[in-house]
Amino acid sequence: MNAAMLELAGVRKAYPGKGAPLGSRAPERVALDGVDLTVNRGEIHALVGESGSGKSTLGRLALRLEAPSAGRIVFDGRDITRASEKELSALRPRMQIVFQDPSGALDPRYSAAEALAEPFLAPGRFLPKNEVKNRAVELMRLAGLPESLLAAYPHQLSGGQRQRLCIARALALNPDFLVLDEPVSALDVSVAARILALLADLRSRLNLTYLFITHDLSVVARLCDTVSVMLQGRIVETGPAQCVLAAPSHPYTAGLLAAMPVANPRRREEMPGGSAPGPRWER
Amino acid sequence: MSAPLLDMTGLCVAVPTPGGWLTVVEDVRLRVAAGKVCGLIGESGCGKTMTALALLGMEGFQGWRRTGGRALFYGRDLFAQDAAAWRSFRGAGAAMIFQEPLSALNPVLTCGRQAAEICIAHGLAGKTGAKARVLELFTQTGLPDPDFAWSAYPFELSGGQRQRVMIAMALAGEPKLLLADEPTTALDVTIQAQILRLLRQTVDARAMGLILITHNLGVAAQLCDEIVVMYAGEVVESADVFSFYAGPAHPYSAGLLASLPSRAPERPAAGFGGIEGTVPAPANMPPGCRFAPRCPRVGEVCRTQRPVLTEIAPGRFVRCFFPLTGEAP
Repeated sequence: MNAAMLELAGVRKAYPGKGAPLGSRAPERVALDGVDLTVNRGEIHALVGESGSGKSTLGRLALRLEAPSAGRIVFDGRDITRASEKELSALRPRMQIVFQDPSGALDPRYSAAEALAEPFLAPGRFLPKNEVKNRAVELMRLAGLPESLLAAYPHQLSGGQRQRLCIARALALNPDFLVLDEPVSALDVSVAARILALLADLRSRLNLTYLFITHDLSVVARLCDTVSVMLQGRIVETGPAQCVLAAPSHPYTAGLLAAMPVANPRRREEMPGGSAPGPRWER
Repeated sequence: MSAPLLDMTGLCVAVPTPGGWLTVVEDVRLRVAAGKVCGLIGESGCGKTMTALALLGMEGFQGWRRTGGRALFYGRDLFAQDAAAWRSFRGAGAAMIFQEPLSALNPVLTCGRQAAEICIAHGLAGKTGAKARVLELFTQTGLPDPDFAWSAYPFELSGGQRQRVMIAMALAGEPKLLLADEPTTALDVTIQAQILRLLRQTVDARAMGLILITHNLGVAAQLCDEIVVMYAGEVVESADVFSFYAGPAHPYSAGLLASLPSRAPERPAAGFGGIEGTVPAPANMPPGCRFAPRCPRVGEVCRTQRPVLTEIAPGRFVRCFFPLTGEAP
């Protein structure tokens, strides 16, 4: 068994530029530039950075939803950099994603039961109707949702319940790797805390590996084993979460940590923010 | 504490439903002094934004209505004024900063023109003097290139710059009270820190009152002087910021604080906090305390009787039969 679930080596992703005058080529926009990342089996690996730093692009590449411009992507020992759709579709059940906004990720016309049954409609994954029903019940229980909500449509669920449903759906095909793209950013704090507890619990019960994309360092402290900090399409710091948070070695990480509001009014003097306008890091 | 700029009591708001008018905000009490920041804390749907919109007399535009309350602003009752008075109050008396500047700003007008419009509407500048005034405001709110911002469309600016334009526009009518509805939720943390600093400087320099609506207890701790916690349309606790964070009195406040992931976890990783259950639907409020079904301290009386907002210490109000007393959260 391979220790690394996911390995990215020298991954670069550039998109074609836009808005060049006729006859000239716009410079391409580089989203990822020479990214090396190893996600070990069973760990929760946080990917931290501000908007536009390339976190979500990296998440999509990790699942090979997009192909890199250069570099190598290895999933569980298999090079999938140039894998065909057919080869990928065999691997897809093992790698799943949960998005930030559960309302956008769920089809409003599908009830919870239908959303959970859909993964089994694909050729080759077919299950008899009653087994699908049993699996749906099992998934609801796994995600901490009452069975009575199987008939509910997304608009009848609360935000936290919707995100639980997305998590349940992602688990339908027994994956071992999940990309969690800001899974609690759209939720209220008291609900977010419950979802984080659920994710921690599922990880240990189902031996899952997470790539946890977030901009919130406090979530990292609570949940994650390893953290990689992204800035302008590069990873500037990687290390065990507690070490990085306690003693960041890159000035950008230190800046991020200092900017985090602390829920203690006696420590407000420490809040930076500097003389407005402060430096925007990526400029 | 100086005499309050705004003293609102008993605000009630009802929304139309197929079954008749349904009260969703009940008996909200809010007091803001000049130069002070009052944090209105609560989770989605607890009535924070409606409270702010009611303070701006916006109910007619939204389909819901205010069914009770009194809001003294410099001793004058806002809720007794006519439509024309509301018009001049909005912008010159109180102004609002919205969460998402991209949707709050007009995409087809330049930032300069939108801001100038406000100065002109409130008679603070003529057509010719407006530009100088807007550029001054843009400078004060820390826009790096005020001339560029004047002629830029909102989409040409970064999120932080757009929020600075929003703040400049809110200040354009020289209001005495600012309402900021989640002003930093759409921003990155480093930009958030800058905007919070700007808001604090603005409030201090102009001796304005600020009502900061947020669900982020970290942000509230950094900026606020007073904290008002809402749950299911009611104020459940109101206290000064230091005593609130030192030991919340309402079990809901305690649950919120316990839900916060701390950067260096003093608490063991075992507990994630959070509050079990969900907020009751307005049509289906429990007969007693609205928090009773989720409350760890619930007693028999909580299920049958509604607690009232009681002053348990000077300046400290809580709506609970069994408030926590100063123990650490």
